[in-house]
Amino acid sequence: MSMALVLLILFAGLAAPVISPHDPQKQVLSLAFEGPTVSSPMGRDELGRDIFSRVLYGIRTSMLIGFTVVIVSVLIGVSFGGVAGYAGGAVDAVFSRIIDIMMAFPGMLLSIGIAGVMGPSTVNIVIALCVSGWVGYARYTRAMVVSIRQRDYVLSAKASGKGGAAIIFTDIFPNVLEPLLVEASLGIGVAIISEASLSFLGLSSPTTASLGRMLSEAISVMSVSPWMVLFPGLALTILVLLFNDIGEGLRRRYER
Amino acid sequence: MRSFIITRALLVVPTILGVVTLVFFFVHMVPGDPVVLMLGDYATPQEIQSMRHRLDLDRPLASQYGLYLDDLAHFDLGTSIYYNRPAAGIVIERFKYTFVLAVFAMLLSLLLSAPLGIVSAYRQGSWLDRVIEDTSVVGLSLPNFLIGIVLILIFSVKLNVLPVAGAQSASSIVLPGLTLAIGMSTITIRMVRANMIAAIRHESFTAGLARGLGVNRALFVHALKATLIPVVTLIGTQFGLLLSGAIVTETVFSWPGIGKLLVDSVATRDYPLLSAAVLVIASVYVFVNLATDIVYYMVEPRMRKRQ
Repeated sequence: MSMALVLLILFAGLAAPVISPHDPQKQVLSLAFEGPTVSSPMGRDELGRDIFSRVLYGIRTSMLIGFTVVIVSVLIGVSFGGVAGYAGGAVDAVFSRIIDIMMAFPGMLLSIGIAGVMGPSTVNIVIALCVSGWVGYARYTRAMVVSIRQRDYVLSAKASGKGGAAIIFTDIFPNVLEPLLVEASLGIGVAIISEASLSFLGLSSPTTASLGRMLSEAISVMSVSPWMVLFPGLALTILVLLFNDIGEGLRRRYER
Repeated sequence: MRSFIITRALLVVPTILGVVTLVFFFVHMVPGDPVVLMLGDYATPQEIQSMRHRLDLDRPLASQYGLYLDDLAHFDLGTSIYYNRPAAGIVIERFKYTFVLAVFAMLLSLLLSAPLGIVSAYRQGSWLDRVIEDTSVVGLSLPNFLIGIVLILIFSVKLNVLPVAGAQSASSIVLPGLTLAIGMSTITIRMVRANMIAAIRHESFTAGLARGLGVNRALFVHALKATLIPVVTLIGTQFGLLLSGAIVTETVFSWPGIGKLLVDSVATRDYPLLSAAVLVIASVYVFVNLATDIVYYMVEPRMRKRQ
């Protein structure tokens, strides 16, 4: 059910340039604050831009950033945590310390700081979210690898003269993959919320439609046009809810 | 026990040093010339030169880093460009507001989640339990600012009973506090529920009922007492969530805390103030985690045995 809806939304996001009825940036000042009509079913915002088209493009931005951030974070985190866990000793001590330092920044603080100094743009948001995003995966992978490293099948592979790289890829990695997939699928929801929060704070590119930015623009005028809050808010909630649902589903299947 | 506390406390030193180093590089991550960005296009070369000198940016990197550490050792967090006074003073003033908001939100979240968690544990599997569970799943998917916006719509725009922004009157704290508390409660309700189920299944609960204790007394006094300690310590671990939630929530409600200060310093390109705010928030978080670990260690005898 969730999967089908996600695919539908994924399609809506990817196809936004084709299916959106209007240009999301086009301002028609004479139509500002217009309520929902047939041609713009979600109404128009304070600059007369079509909210439906902007929501479609906003979903597209959320998904693009969400997926990119999670993929890059997982790649960095898995390599970092994998090396720390497998090498052990001094390497592990140094790597673990770095992980601890990164964990010392609560949630979004580091992302806000980095996106803040680097300036508002989509690429900077991705960088800022990856800088704080990879740490969780690194810590998780390290813990998994440390526990797997001592298992009999790894020790016997080592005893039979198998090389380090071969052991990592054929004996350890397949066992880390599944729980990591669960973490990553839950991470997409988190990344989408974080992107929305950063753009809500004004750290996203002003020329890219994003749900967080739409909501921050809507705050001051919401008594006149509540639909400016309603539709992007709903879209964001449903999007995150669906990804969390898929993540929870994967988790249950894996834990069974 | 003392050795655990000392080792745990010593681990804070390299962490804080790492945080400081990262924050030091903030100003160097600014694309282009940070001084030109701060002063704007109309600054004269002399002004740019003197600002660069004031921020020590005309020195080699290693000496800049040394000076930064030296200043920090004297509790000097740099000078705000926008306010033109020491950043440390500004950050402390604003932090009081964040502290009050955080404590208020924590209490509110306990008041919300304790009864709901107890009811859903006692009526496990009932429709009420499922409604509470589903609501907290939805709540978990809501970003903090969206909760805030919905609360503004209900209480300020429609009902017109609570102020939307600022901190002028005592009632100003209600909406931002409630926003943070709702966000936290989605997790605390689950914690209370899980711990209460364990307490209810424990034989002392049945024994209490057999002794003639009323259900309410057995639930809200005896079982809750057993639940409260792990829940309160776990709330400490949620403090990071509260701090980063506060950054966004304070911005929504113009609550003059350190989070609002941080976001404003981004807008005014006040990089020294921004660095100071990030450094202080991260340090507070590190020390709260330290305190949480120690308290947890003290109230949980099983932890001590493991050593």
